[in-house]
Amino acid sequence: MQITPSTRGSWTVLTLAGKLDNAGSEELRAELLPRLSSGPASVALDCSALDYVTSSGFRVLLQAEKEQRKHGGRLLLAGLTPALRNFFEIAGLHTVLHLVPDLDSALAAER
Amino acid sequence: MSELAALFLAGLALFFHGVSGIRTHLQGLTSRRLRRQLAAWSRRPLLAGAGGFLFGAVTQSSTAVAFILTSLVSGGLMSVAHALPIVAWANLGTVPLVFFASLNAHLAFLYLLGVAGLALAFDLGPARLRPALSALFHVGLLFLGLQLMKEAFAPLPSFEGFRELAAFIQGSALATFVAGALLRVLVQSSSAIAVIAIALAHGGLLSLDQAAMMMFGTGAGVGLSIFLLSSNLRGVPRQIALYQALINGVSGLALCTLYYVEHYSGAPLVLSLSAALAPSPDSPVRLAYAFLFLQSTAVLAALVGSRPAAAWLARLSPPTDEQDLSRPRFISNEALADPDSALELADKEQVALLAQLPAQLDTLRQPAAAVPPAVRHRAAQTVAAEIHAYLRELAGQSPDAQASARLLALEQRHALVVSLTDTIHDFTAALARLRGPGSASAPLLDSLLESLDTLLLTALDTTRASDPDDLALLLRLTADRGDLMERLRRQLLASETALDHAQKSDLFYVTGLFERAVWLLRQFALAQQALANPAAVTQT
Repeated sequence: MQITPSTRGSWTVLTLAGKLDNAGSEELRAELLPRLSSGPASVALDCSALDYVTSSGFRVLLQAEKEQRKHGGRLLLAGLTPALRNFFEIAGLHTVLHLVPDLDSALAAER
Repeated sequence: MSELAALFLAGLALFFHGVSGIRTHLQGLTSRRLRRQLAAWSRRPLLAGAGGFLFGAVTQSSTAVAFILTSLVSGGLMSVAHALPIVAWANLGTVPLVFFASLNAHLAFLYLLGVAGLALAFDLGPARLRPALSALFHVGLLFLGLQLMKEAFAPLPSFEGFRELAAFIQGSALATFVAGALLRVLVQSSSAIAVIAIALAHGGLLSLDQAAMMMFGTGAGVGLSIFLLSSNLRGVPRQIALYQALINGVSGLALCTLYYVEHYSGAPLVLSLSAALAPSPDSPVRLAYAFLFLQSTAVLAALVGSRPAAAWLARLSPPTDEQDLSRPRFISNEALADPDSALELADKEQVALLAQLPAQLDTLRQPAAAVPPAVRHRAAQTVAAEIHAYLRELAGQSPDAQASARLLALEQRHALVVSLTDTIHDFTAALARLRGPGSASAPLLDSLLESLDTLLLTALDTTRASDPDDLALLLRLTADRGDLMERLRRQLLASETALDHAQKSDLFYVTGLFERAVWLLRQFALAQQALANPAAVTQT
């Protein structure tokens, strides 16, 4: 699992590549949660290179959603492959997380 | 001779049918009450002894008592250390039958058989007394069988073959000791063999000394029997079985030794004491005393050694994974006196049961390292049954309105947790069948697995903190996804034409189970809401 942070305007973009499994979830938790729990923050996860998510990955994402709601921040997930999008829908996470097809257009629209 | 053999066979059959009938009908009458009472008594040595004696008398088999206690220990109602003395005293509970059999009271037992049999045949008396009447009828059958056997033995001394046999074993007490041990392996009831030994002595086939040695042989026979039969036992049942073997083996061998010491030294020991208590040289009561001494020695051995034995047995045969998982962690009989505490414990036990379900799914990720799913499921069913019985017990205590509302909510949630347990087990088994290497449906199956795990863990979150946001989240995550699942199934079937019918059928089955689990988790969220405000449930 690779996590590459970058900045796009007021947004922090974390580009995720590989598998969001147990070990990857711990890395993402350490990278993502402090940003959202320290105050209102805007974080976008670029998931276009993400292959797979386990339950522990889903749990980190749900926890992150809870944190951003509590602190008035923004969190979006962009560029999920169709297979991964199905995966999120089966888990019901599409009803909770903000999923967008494309990072650039989503950030442009949010600006 | 063939007529005598038929008489003996008929008597033997009636005797064993009687033993089995007494056990069946008295257990039906008192089983649940006796189990609960035993669990309560097990912490008080005197009451534990009385309970073990009573249980032994009812079942006429200390092995049956050991088996029942195993279920109580596995169910967390008592510890092994508390169960062992009860097993020991159950041995003594089998003695009264032998005393009854030694008395010449066949006329009384014939009346008993007649009255109880007619009452049963013509349905006389209240229905609640039928188990007791059936038990009495079987007591009558047992003694009728014994009488038939005695009649079969009576003419034996006049037969040439018998005289030859008697001459062959003449004076050989050791032969009857070995015969008693071997018979115990076959018959599985020491009191039954003791009664047969009395009948053989009465018929003149054995001397009183030989009949006594046959009884002592049953002690060694219990040890031999358990050695032969317990190889498939593990953990707690093996501990209790070995304990039975140990105390009975010690008592059998001790009394055999005392017999020979008395025989060769002339010192007044067991046989002299029996003779002093029943002076008539032909009295079968003398043999009943010998059986009493055998079983008392087993109890004595237990009283001396049960504490170190419990520690030794725990090391020798530690509880298995299934026994560990089958033990409730929170509910206790003592808490039933305070409904609020009991409800709190039942709540925690339900949550602990739910918390086992992600581990069930985890067996799919680590099939080699994990406890097998079938073992986990059996253990979960045991705990679920204990929780159900506990909630029933609470319901029977006429709880006040507040406790009643919470109990109702817990009962509803329990039904859901039980259904979830079964559904997750079936889902795990079906998924294990489908997930072969290179399986075309692997991505879908993996997503079902990870999704269900996520939902289960989210459901557990709702039980640990009373955050309304967690409940709202679970309700959103468990919204109906029937259309989505149908679309995914169709897509997969269209793209994977290589699937055979069985694979397609399994695929439909596993996705159906997934949808059912999601629906149950949604109902669980609603039940959690009800538990957060139980009064609202009873008002609506």
